[in-house]
Amino acid sequence: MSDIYTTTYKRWKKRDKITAELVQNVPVKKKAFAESGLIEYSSYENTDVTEITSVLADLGSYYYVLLGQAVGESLKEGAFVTTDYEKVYSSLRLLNACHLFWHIYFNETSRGQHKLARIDEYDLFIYVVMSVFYSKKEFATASSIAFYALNKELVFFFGEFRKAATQKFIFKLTAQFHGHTSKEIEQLDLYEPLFDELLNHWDDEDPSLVLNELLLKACYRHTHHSRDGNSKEGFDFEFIGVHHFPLEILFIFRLREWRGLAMPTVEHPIMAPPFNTLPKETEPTYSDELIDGVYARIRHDWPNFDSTLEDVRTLYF
Amino acid sequence: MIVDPDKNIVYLAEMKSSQNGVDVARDPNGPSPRARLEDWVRKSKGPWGDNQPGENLHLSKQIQKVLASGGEVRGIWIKVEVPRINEGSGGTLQMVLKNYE
Repeated sequence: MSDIYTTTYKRWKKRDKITAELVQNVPVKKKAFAESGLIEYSSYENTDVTEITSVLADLGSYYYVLLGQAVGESLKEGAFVTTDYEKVYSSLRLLNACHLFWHIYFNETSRGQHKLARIDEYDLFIYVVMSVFYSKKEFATASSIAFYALNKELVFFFGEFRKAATQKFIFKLTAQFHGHTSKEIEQLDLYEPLFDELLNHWDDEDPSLVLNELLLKACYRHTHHSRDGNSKEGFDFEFIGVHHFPLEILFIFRLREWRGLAMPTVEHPIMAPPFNTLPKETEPTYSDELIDGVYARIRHDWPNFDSTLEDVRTLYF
Repeated sequence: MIVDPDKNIVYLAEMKSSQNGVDVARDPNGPSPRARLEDWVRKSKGPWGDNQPGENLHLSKQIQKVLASGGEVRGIWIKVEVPRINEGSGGTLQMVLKNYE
């Protein structure tokens, strides 16, 4: 058996090193650049309605920096700082909603004559995973956006160059959880037998029989995928903000909790607090002027923004 | 990469070289220019810290705006013959530009 399932990657950066890097080396210029773009948008400095395309770029950078900061603070404090994650989630949710809305609008008006930037699998993956931090309602909304985007092939995967097995596994598990079937999601190639096994065992009644061992393998695998990619090979967790954040394990924990199943036991350094469990579910209530301002401008320019996304939701739920 | 915001086009150049003539320089292989750009945009979010020059932030945003508004991506394949250096004298540098998909 390959040692990616039985050993921790020897170059997996130590927790204190990652923590220091995340806390001390925040890309403040990148964050400020994104913030100023969002402020410009919400203050109508350019009244062209297609300026929504600049929001996609700015929100993409913005949530990324916030996520790194949130994880850094959690690792430093040894506690899940819930406000930080809600802040990440509010921008991430808006990013994915905007991107899907823009696709629907653009494809209708251009009748498919033009190609449009696809939704990044990573943005969608983080959104779906983070939605289970909150509530079933949030998870349903995120799932509906994922299903629509995947079924219409609006999601960018980099094929053989970036296999994104964890990301595809999360999308498949989400579909399985909700009982949603589509050939587009079924055809996503996992390139990873471990995830095929997890799809078969994630909801086992007794986790001690098979599931605990599979999750331990997934922890080891996470460490091997926590590194930079190159032009020939990509990894599932290239962003240092998730090197010590076992998103896929916590995702399974929450789905099992919602099914009333026993919690698995996984002993691996990546499962050290605060990432050994998720906080109690809750509805996200965070708001701030920046994100509220962007919502206000979008709803002004696109009065059908909310109803379009609600239509997407009702397709599946 | 060059962005022409007025025409809503991104030009993506790929250079392949050979010492045995421009005709032998390899084809650009792998993903399409558009897929490469989409991947570049994803990666541009990634590096932690402010080591990247500020221009990269502007470039990344410009590219994302072109891609998000249905703009065009044109691949330019630059085939170069790098001359062999014989006893201190260089040969002639040859270069051919072609479109590629």
